[in-house]
Amino acid sequence: MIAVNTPDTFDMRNGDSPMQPPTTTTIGRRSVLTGGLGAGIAAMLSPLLSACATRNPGMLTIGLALPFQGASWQTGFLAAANWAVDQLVRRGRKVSLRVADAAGDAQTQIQQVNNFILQGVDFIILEPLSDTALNAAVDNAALAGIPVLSTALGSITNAKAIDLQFDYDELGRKYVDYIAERTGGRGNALNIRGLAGNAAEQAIQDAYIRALKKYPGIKIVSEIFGDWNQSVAQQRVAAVLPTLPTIDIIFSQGVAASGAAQAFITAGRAVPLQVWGFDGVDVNLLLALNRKSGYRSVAINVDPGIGSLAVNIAVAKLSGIDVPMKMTAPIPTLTMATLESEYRTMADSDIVWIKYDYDATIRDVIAPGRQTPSS
Amino acid sequence: MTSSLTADPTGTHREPAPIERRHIPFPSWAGALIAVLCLWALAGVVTGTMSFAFILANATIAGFLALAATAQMTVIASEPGNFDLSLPYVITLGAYLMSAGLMGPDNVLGSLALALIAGLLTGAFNALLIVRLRIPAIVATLASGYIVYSLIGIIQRGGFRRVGGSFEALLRMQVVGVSGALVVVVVTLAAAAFILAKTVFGVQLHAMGQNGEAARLAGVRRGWLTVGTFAASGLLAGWLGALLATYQGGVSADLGRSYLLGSVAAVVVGGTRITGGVTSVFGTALGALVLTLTQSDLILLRLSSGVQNVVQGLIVLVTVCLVALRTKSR
Repeated sequence: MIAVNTPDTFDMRNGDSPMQPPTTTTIGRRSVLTGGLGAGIAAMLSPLLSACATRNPGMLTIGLALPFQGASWQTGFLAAANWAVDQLVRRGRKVSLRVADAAGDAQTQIQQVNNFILQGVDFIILEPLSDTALNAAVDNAALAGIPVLSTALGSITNAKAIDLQFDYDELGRKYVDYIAERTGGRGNALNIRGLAGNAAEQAIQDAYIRALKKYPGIKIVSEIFGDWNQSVAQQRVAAVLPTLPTIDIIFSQGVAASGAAQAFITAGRAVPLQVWGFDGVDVNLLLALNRKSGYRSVAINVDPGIGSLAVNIAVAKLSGIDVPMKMTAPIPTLTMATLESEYRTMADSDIVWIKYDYDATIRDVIAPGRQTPSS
Repeated sequence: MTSSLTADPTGTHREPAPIERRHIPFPSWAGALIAVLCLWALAGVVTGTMSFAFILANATIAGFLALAATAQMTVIASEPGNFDLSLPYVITLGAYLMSAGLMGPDNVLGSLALALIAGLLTGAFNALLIVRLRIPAIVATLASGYIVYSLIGIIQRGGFRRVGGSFEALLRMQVVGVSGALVVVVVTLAAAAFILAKTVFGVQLHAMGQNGEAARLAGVRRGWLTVGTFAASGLLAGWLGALLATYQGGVSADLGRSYLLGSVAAVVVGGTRITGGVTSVFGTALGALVLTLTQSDLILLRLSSGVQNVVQGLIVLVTVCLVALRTKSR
C-alpha cells in the first residue's frame, strides 16, 4: 500500500518494470472500482493519476460519458464534441476525446466514470443518467484532481461538478412568444407532452405554462402524452383527431412535432402552427410544407451543439481560465431562411447542431456565467 | 404404438379447439366487443357526437397493435409460458430496414423483402435457441432482442429516409374514412386467422399448446412447429415495422417500444387465455381496439396521466379475472 503512494513506484510500473509487487496495485484498483473505500483510495491514487496524465506532456485527454447512443440527439452531441476537438487540434492544441456509452444504465455510467479516473483523463464530461447516483464517482474525480462537467441531461446534486445546462424558461419564452406573435395571442392549442413523471418534462411544461400566462387568448383544448416517442405521439394524435375542434396551435417538446404534423396530414387536415424540432424529419417536412403551401414556422430546440461547448469549456478550464461553476447554454432559433439556405440537403436521420468554437464559448457562455451569481 | 398414432397426424387434430368452445354460451371476445361499444359511446357522450370517423381513426391505430398482438398470440398459444420479448426490436428493425434503402434508394419492394426476411430469420433464430439449446422462450427472445437492438444501432448509422412514394400513398389513402393501412391490416389478420384455423400448421400449433406431450405422441414434430411459430411471429413483426415506417413517414429507435406490453395486453383483453392452446385473431383485434379506444377516451376526458395508467391496468386485470372465472365455470 505504501509503495503505491509514491509516484516513483508508479512510474516504474508504467515503465514495464517487473519489480513492482503485484498485490499493491490490485488492492488499489479494486477498492476504487467498487467505490467502497473510494475517497481514501482516490486520495492515495491522486499523485499516481497525475503521473499518468503527464506521461504524454501537453496532451489533454477528455473523457466523455454518454448516456446512450442511437438517439439522434446524442449522435448530434457526439458529432459536435468531435467537431470542437478537431477545431482545437487545428489551432495547435493537443486534445483527444475518450468516449464511453452507458447504454442507459446509471450503474454502468458510474463504472465508466471511475475507469476514466483510473485512466488518468484530464477532464470528464458527464451526461448524467441520475441526479444522485453519480455523486460518489464525482467525489472520486474531485479527489483525483479531475474536474467534472455535468451537462445536457440535467444537473447532479454534487456541487463539485461544473454545471452547463439549458435554461428551460428561456426555451418556453422563445417558443411561446413566437407562437403568440404569429397568432396574435389567440387560438385553440393541442398540447403534446413528453414522458409522464419525468423531471425535465415537467420543467419544460412549467416553463411553457409560465410563458403562456401572458397570453390568456391561447387555450389548451386537449393534452396528450406522447412519451417523447415520435411514433406514440403520432398515433395518439391520430386517434383523437376526428373528435377535436379546430386546432390552430400545437405545443410539443421537440420530438413530437413531425409525428403530430404527419397525423394531421394523414387525416387530410391542415398542419397547425407549431414550433419544430432539430431532427432531419422535422426540418425536411417543414421545408416541404413551405414549398407546397407557404407554411412558415421556426425550429427551436435544446441544441446538441452543447457538445462543442462542453469540450471548449474543458479545454478552457485546463488552460487555467476562470470557469464558473454554473453556465447556461444558448437556445437557438432557426428561421425559415436559415433552414432553407443551410439545412436544405440534410438527411432525415441527421440532426441540426450549432457549432460553437473556442472563442465563442468563452465570450458567450463562460464570461456571462461569471457575472450571474450561482444559485 | 407411436406408428399407429402418426398414421394420420392431421385428421386426429381437426377438432380440439372447436370442442372446447362448444359449451360456452357466448364467444370469448364478447366482453371485448361490449367494451368497444361502451368506449365508443363514452367518447360520443364526451364530445357530443357519435363520430364514425373517430372509431375508424382508432381502428387504424389499433390495427397496428393487432398485428403485434397476433404475433404474440401465436407464440403464447404454442406452449404455456411462451412469450416473444424480441417483438418490439424486430418491429423497429423492420422499420429501419424499410427506410434505410440498403437495396437501393428507391427499391421499396427490395426493402420490404429485406424487412420480412429479417423478421423471419430472427424468429427462426429464437426457435433455434429454444429447441436446440433448450432455453426458455422468454429468455431466448430477450437475448435475441438485445442482439437485434445492436443491429438496429448499426443500420441507424447508415441513416434513413422517408419511404414515401406509391406505397405511402396507398396506406394513407382514405375511402369513406377507411384508410389503406386498415385494409392492409385486415387482410393480413384474415390470412393469419385462416392459417391458424384451417391449415395443418394451425391445428398442430393448437394441439401442441394444449398438451405438448400428447401432440408429440400424435406425431407432431414439435421442433419444426416451434420454428414455424416463431418465424411467423417474426414475419408479422417485420411486416408491421415496414408498415409503420411507411405509414408514419419516419422511424425512431423507440418505434416498437410500446408494442411489448401492448401486444400481451391486447391478447388478454381479447379474451384469449394466456396459458396456451387457444387463439382468436378476431378477439385479439377487438382487444387492440379496446386498448386504443381507452387511451383516446382518457385523453378526451382530460384525465391526468397517472389516472390513465391506472385505468389501463385495471382493464387488463378485470379481463384476466373474467377470463379466469369463465374458464372455471366451464
